[in-house]
Amino acid sequence: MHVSPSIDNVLIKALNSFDDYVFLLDEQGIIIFANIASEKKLGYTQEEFSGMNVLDVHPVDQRTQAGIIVQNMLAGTESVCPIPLITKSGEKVPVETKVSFLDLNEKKYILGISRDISRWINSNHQLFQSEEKFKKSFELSSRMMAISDLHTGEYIDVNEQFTMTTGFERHEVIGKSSTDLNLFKNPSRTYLIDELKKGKPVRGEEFEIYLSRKDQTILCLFDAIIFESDNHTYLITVAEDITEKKKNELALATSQKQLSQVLDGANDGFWDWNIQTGEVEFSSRWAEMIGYKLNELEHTVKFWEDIIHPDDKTFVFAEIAKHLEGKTKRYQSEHRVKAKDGTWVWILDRGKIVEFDQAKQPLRMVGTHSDITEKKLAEEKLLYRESFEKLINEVATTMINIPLPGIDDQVEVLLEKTGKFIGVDRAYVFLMDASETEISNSHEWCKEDITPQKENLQNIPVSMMPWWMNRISEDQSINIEDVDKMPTEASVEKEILQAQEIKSLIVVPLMNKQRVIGFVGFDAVTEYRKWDSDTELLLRSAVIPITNALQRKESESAIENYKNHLQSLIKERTSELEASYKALNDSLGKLAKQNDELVKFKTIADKANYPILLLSSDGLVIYSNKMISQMAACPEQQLSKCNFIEEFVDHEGPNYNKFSQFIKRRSDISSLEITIVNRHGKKTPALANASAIFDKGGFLMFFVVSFTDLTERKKGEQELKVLWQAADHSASGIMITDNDNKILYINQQYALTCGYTFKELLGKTPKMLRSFKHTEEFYHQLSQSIKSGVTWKGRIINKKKDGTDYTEDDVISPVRNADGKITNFIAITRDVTHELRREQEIQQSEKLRSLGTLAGGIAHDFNNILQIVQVYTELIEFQEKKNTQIHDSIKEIIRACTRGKSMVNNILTYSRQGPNEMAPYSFDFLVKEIINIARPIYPSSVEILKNIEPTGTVYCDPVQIQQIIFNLFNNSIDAMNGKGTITVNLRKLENPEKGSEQDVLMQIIDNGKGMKKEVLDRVFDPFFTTKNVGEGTGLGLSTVFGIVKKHNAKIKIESQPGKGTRIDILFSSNQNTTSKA
Amino acid sequence: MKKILFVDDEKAFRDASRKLLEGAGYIVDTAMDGVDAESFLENNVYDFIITDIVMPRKEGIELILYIKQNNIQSKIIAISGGGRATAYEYLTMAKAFKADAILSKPYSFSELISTLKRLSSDSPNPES
Repeated sequence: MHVSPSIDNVLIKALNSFDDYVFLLDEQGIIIFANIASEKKLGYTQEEFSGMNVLDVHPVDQRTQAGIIVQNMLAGTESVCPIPLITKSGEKVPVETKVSFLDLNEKKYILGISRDISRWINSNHQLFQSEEKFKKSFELSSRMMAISDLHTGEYIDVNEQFTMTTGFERHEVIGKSSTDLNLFKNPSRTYLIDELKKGKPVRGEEFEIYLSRKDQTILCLFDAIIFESDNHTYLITVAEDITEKKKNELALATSQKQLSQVLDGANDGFWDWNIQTGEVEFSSRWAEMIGYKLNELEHTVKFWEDIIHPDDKTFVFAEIAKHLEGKTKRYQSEHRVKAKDGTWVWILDRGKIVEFDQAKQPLRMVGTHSDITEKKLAEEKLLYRESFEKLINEVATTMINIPLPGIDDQVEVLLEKTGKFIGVDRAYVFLMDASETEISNSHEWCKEDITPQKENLQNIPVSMMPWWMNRISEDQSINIEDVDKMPTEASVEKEILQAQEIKSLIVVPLMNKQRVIGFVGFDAVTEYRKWDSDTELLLRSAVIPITNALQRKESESAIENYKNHLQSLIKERTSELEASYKALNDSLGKLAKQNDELVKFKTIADKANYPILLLSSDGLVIYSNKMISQMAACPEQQLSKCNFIEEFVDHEGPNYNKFSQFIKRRSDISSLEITIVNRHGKKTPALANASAIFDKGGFLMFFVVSFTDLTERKKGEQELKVLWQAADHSASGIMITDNDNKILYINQQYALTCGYTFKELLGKTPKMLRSFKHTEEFYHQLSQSIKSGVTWKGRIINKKKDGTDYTEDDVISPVRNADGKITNFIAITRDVTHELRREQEIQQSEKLRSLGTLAGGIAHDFNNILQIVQVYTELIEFQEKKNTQIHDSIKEIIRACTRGKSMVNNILTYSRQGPNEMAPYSFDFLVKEIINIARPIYPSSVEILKNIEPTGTVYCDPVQIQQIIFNLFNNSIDAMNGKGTITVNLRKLENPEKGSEQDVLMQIIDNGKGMKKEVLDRVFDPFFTTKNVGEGTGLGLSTVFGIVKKHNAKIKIESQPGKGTRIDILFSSNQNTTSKA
Repeated sequence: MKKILFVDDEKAFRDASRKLLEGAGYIVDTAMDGVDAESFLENNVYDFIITDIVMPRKEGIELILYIKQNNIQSKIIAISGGGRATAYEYLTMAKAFKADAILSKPYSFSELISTLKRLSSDSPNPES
């Protein structure tokens, strides 16, 4: 036996001799010693007792009370503690306990002596042996006690509690039976006696007793025993009024039930955790949220712990620990839990300790689960989408500004960035050749350790992959999660992909003006991947810069070629002409000097590398060189004396008449385009030069005729035509001006962008397109820059023919001729209006979201401040009852407070991230209902017309729909100065816009003052308002915008100053599309 | 005369509310938070307890739990300026823990008075 050595052995012996249960405690109530009687009765060993808190041997629900009574007894205000002890196995032992301080060896102890009183109740023998004690407890018991004759039922004695409870005087009871007193509503006494006759005492039976004196029915807990004495059989009944207790229990149960109902109603699951036992009560909604039925759950905290996502556990446990340690006022966590079907559900878990035990240890914690999966997924999706769009914009911008030689590298950068973003191992571009019969891998990016395939994938016949190419040519994406599961009709493609060890892939077509030019693909080699339709769409826009880049490359190199070609032509021609004139000059000079000019001339002409003829004054051939023979396919001898012009110049060809007349006119001809027809009928385009040669006396000697073969040049011109066509069809806009800035050319794309036709712009200057969004200075600098020969890159806002503005990214370069003089300017442009708009939309939603976060943070404090303003205003109103002037001012202040509150509510509604309250509602019915509610709020000078047709159900949050309608009505009424007509149209569209998911149209039309365009552009900005200071918050329409967005609906505003405003909101009747949002 | 315990951590608000309620014929005690309120409740019986939710030391929900656990029969009106996500977050919780009425701040004095009247006539308090 381990006992503190400071305790005297004699004392221990003495205590052990007691039949009473004796405990020696330290000042904190920790048991140091318990006597043998306690060990036997309560079932603990001395070792187990030692160190236990004495309260632990009391029933759990009475420990607090026991603690208080012990304190009172030690303070001398109470003498005895009636709370029973409890054995190790959980049985109650009725005792009366007294405690006192005990000084031993200069240390203070507490001595507790518990006297077992079960004997008084259970044993006749004991009862009579200690009659004195029985009498005392009979008198003083807090329970009703009565002794009656078993046979007659007459009361022999009752205690004070009995008379107090029943309201009868003692003398009224003695000698009467319970039937006389009308105490029992049913034959309960008979039942008691029957039970007792079976030989055992009755314990804890519940009966109702009617108290005629109080006209009240109470519920009692009965114990009863029989005893015999003086040949009489007596019945002793002990009853306790448990009406209140029962009521409280019931109330507690009801309130718990109600609480969980309230929480269930709020769509939240409810949990109630007994921290010390580890038991947890879950509500049925809690179970349902994760796919279980309530009876399938194990009601332990372990079950709850086990289903938390492994990655979230650390965080969740840390948050709970923080709360249990009192570091946080509330426990809150967003984490994933595993549903019955193995999927993960995002949960917002909130809780709070609601009970502590005597030792201030947490005892009970309750809380809620909200399913935030949709919100989380939507957040993730939005984040994914936004970062993807950011990436696309970033790459596209780089692509525009990169110089031509860097384009291929940039395409590979784009592949890399996009590939890394969607998490694949390889990304590549395939382009079709001009004949559209073969495809080749043109650009490729591979992750480290992934084998490049580019070299293996050149000049693959399109016919090899019919399934694949069919889909691509129909502008469809190919999205394959598992290559092994591809359809049978795609077996060839499957083999090709398997050979490259591809597991999953996604491919989108490259389109240029509805024509497929190739495709971009993304392969997963190391593991299986899955892409949703969102990713597919984003990829489609991600590859547009590739198309643009390749187009730009094509058209820019076409223009480069054209420039080079022009230059080489000019060079060629210049040198030809130089050569021929030199030759002519030389020969003419010689002719003048010498007599036998002809002979000399022939000598020179023989060596010339272009065709030369001498014709007599009547046009017959005197001499022809070898080049003439070649051109005419006729030997020299046969040419002699023939009429060359008649025989070898095409009569149908250009300039025949003009050329044939030079003989008669004896004039010179220079660079006349004619066609030579040779012996075999083959035609050769040529430039003809002719001079008449006179002798010193002024007589005509002969004509010198030379030709320049134009075959090559004609071919060049043909090529040029092709190049122009390329420019014409380029995806980039192209404009060419001369150095006076007059427009010489625009391609189709440019015409499409600006809305003017080529004819309308030809000869005009680009000033026609000015939007007045730039300063004169801006245009001046642009013009200076290009005139100085520098390429200008930048963004210009221009005005279309229809008056709307558009934004283009421009590269404007000067074109120089052979002398280096600037002759033209070429502008290559890209319309970026749509891209900019999308960027702005993203910025808009960012702006609103940050506003919501801010508002959430200040809402509570702001409302509290408003409350103070309001209450003091009301106090002034109260104190200055008679001052009517003050009353008017006060009304204004209170009105302002109310507006402030509704503004906060508006912001919160906008930014509300809480659980979805969306459900399918009969939409026409809902809208009608809302208008009926709204009607009485608005002045009768406003007429509200309804044209509401059946729409079927729309998945929506009715409170928010109401908010949309109220906010729009408020705006309309303000715009009409409180007087006019609001029309509400609602109908289901039979032919919704193609590809659009929204098919239910709500229109709200007013005939108010309308809005100018500048105002329209900004109506959705938070805090933007046209109303005077203090009249509007500027949040009405942003809130509407927020709700519309949340419902995956679309909103459009049309307004004409002075006429009115029409707002169209398109909702979707398809639940799937709405709940995705 | 009915007795009210008014609990809010904003002194200015407490003071003005006391004056208005006294003007309307109530007897008013004010407490600055749950702890303060509990010491009032130990020695006094009130017809109404009007309590804010967000308070230092002991907040309104805890006070409501204390009131219910100790079987105090006063009617409870919870008031709050709202939470982060919705204006009614804390008040919904107060309702779940059996507050008899809720008012979102800022409320007008007439709203408060009509709530008090409604609660008095709803089910007459047996102790009064």
